[in-house]
Amino acid sequence: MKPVKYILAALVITVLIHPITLYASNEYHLDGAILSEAFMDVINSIKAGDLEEARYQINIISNASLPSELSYIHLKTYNRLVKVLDIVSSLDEIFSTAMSNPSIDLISVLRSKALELYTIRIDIEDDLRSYASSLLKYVPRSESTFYHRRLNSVIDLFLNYLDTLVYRAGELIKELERVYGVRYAELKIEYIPNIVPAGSNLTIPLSIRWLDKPLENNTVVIGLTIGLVYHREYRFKLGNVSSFKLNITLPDSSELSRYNVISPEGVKVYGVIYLTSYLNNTEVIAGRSMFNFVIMFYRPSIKFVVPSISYYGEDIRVRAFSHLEHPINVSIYIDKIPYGNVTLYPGENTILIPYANISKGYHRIEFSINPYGKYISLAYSASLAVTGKPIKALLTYSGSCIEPLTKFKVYGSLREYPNETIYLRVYSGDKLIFMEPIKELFTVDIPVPYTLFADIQHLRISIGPLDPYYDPYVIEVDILTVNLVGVLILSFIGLAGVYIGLSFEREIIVRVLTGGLRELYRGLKRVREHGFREVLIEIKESIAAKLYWSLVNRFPSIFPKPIPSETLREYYSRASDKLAGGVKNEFKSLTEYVEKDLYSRYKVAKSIIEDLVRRVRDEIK
Amino acid sequence: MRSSRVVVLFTLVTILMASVSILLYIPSTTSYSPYNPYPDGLSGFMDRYDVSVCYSKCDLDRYDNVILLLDKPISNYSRYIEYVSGGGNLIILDSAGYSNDLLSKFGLDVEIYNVSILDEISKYGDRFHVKAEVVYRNYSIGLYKPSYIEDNTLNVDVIASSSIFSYLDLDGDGNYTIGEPIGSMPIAVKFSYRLGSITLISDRNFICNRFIDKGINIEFLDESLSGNILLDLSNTRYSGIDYVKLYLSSMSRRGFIDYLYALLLTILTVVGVVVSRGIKI
Repeated sequence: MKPVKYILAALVITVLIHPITLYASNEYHLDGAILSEAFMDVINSIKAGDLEEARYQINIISNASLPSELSYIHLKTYNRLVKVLDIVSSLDEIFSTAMSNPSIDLISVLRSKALELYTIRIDIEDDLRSYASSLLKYVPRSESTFYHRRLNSVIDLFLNYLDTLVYRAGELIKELERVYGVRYAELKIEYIPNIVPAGSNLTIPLSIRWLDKPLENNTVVIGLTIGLVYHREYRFKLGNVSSFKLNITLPDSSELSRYNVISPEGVKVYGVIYLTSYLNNTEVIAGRSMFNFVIMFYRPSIKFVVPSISYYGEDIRVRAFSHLEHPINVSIYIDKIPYGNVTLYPGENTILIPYANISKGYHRIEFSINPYGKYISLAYSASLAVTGKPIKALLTYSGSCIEPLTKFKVYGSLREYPNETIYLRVYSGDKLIFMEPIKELFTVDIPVPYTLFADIQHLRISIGPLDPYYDPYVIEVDILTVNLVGVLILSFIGLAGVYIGLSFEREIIVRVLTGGLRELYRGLKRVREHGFREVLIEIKESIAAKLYWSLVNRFPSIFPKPIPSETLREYYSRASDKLAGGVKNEFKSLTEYVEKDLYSRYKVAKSIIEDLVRRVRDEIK
Repeated sequence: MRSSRVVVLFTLVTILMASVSILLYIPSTTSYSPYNPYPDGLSGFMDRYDVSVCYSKCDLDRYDNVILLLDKPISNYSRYIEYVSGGGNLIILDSAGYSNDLLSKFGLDVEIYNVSILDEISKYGDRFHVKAEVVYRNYSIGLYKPSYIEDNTLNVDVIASSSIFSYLDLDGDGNYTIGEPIGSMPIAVKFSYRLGSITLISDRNFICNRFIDKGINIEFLDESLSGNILLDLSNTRYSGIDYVKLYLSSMSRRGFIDYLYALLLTILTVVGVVVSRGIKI
């Protein structure tokens, strides 16, 4: 290849690639710095009490399209901040109302909001710090330390602000209670465990110390809150006792799963105990106390043993070992379709799945246990291959066959299957080309599909009964098939072609070397137009012919005009009509000499031709 | 000799047809070319709107709206001043401040600074494709790295602004750097001058395929462009091929190209018949 061609090729490639490279986008990096600035702006707006501005900012930020790894925590954090905004906004209103129009009703509202804020303040701390760490991953390394410090500082100040709000609310409650003459009673929780299993009974020993004389119609209210989504109250009527035990049943995993608050590490529960009493026919909060503990969940200890392979026509047996102290219901799904429910008892169980429900092939069996008591849900799934019983056979085959001399031969041995007729089937693609029953020892000649010359045929040999309970022994083979007759015919045609081609090629070479390509072309054209091939003969320059034709042309009145297609002899017989005697004989001799000179290997002496020409000319004159 | 003449004629006609086809249909890669189908081209805008294009000596007065896309300094101010004075609506798309002198001729203290506004919050895909709210309208527009417009004139209406979290990329590094101003900034302004009006959008990519193909800016353009539209590309860097394509397109629009193709096809057919029948020319 010449350098010019290289340059042209490079140019073509450049032209093709240029538009692609021109618009290929570079890797896009999110700008974490500006997101951090926006985050801090929102927090500062809330902290500064500019709640409407903060709401407007959150509304814009929430719609930002971000990478999937950031978008979840981004949305979660800003949703939490919206809730904080709502609570802070409500507290602001309550504070204002307490200043302008105080009433005893504000106490319960304020207490409820303060509790909400306290709960969310605990939860949001993790969210804010996680979000800040996520943002820092997108901040350039040179600025990450700066933003790390700033973000932490802003978050700390914000959490302090929320603590201050909770404190302010508490102080305001106290103040309102003082103003409206509520008498205090001290509630003391003697003991509360740190961790309690879900769904279990919890006993809370509580003692009440009245600061003044006891009030009447006392009710103890226990409120349990998990996050912002679950809240439950228990009420107990009290007499005038001062110490007693409150028994409550905690929500079980079934109930809590509906609120999506289940976590393997347990969930933290915030509780409050109120003592409501009546004073002058008005309900008042006489005392309160707060507590917290963790509700713990457990994974049910059940082990399933599913066979990896099962034979078609046989029931599937799944063993299950339950270490639970009570029976439990299990739902079974086969390929996501509900199959049924069974009850597992403590100890070893066997689950029987009838074969009629399962076809051949791969299946997925799933066992699902719903949350119950302290146990969370459990799903166990396993793959199961349902196959037929395998056919045991040994098979050997010839790797090639030359038709019509040899056949494709298959021979082998087969285990005894007394109740079944075993067939040997051969497929080419999906087409069955051969089928024959076989015995324990077999030798079979298989007619392979016809091939024109030679081919490698891909065949599938299957040995098995027609009964679907068995899986046939299958082997795929490649057989070289040669059609001897076809090959011989092809060889013959090839050889003939080569022979003809070589002869023709030699002629072309001769013509090219002698400058006769134009004649060759014309000859080929004649072959195309008239269906025959002109035999080309090299025509040498002939002085005899020149003298002959100059004689003929000199006497047009005697010699007729020659026709291109006639031979010299044909011309002589036509021209000799006007000649007589000696001239006729001499012209005949002249024609024969010229023929000899032109078409034989011998040259005629110039003097003979000149002599004959002279004699004919003299006699005509 | 005669047969070789036939071959030469056949080849020439084929090359001519192929060349016309290539020039007409092979896309241009010149930025802001009406025949460029890539993100920086204007083919989408041309397909959507019935727009006339001119590359030089534009006759502005025949059009109700003139879109002046600036990719280099303006060569002739007076015709734009005359056009607006006479009642025309001039829409200037400029990212680099090439229109600052023209704006001063209108008596305005409005300047475009060649500093990009980026926005990671309110955006179309990435922070370089800024999403801006249109004032008093319920839709947004998209701009690719719009420039900062400093407006010190009272009678200028801001028609679109970036979000409150957009920032000026003063150091041009494509990221927010501590100290860079954050806040809402005007990116499209409008003002009246005598009988006409001027709309200044600080992004020359405003009508490019990167937006039009995604359906962005369509509402704004539909509302702003009524009547005859001229796309004035006399201040852009176009290639010779674009000029030829413009010429061929105008011929094509008038049906000349169809006639040319018909003529060339006839010649090809005649030549084919002559060659196959062996007739000597």
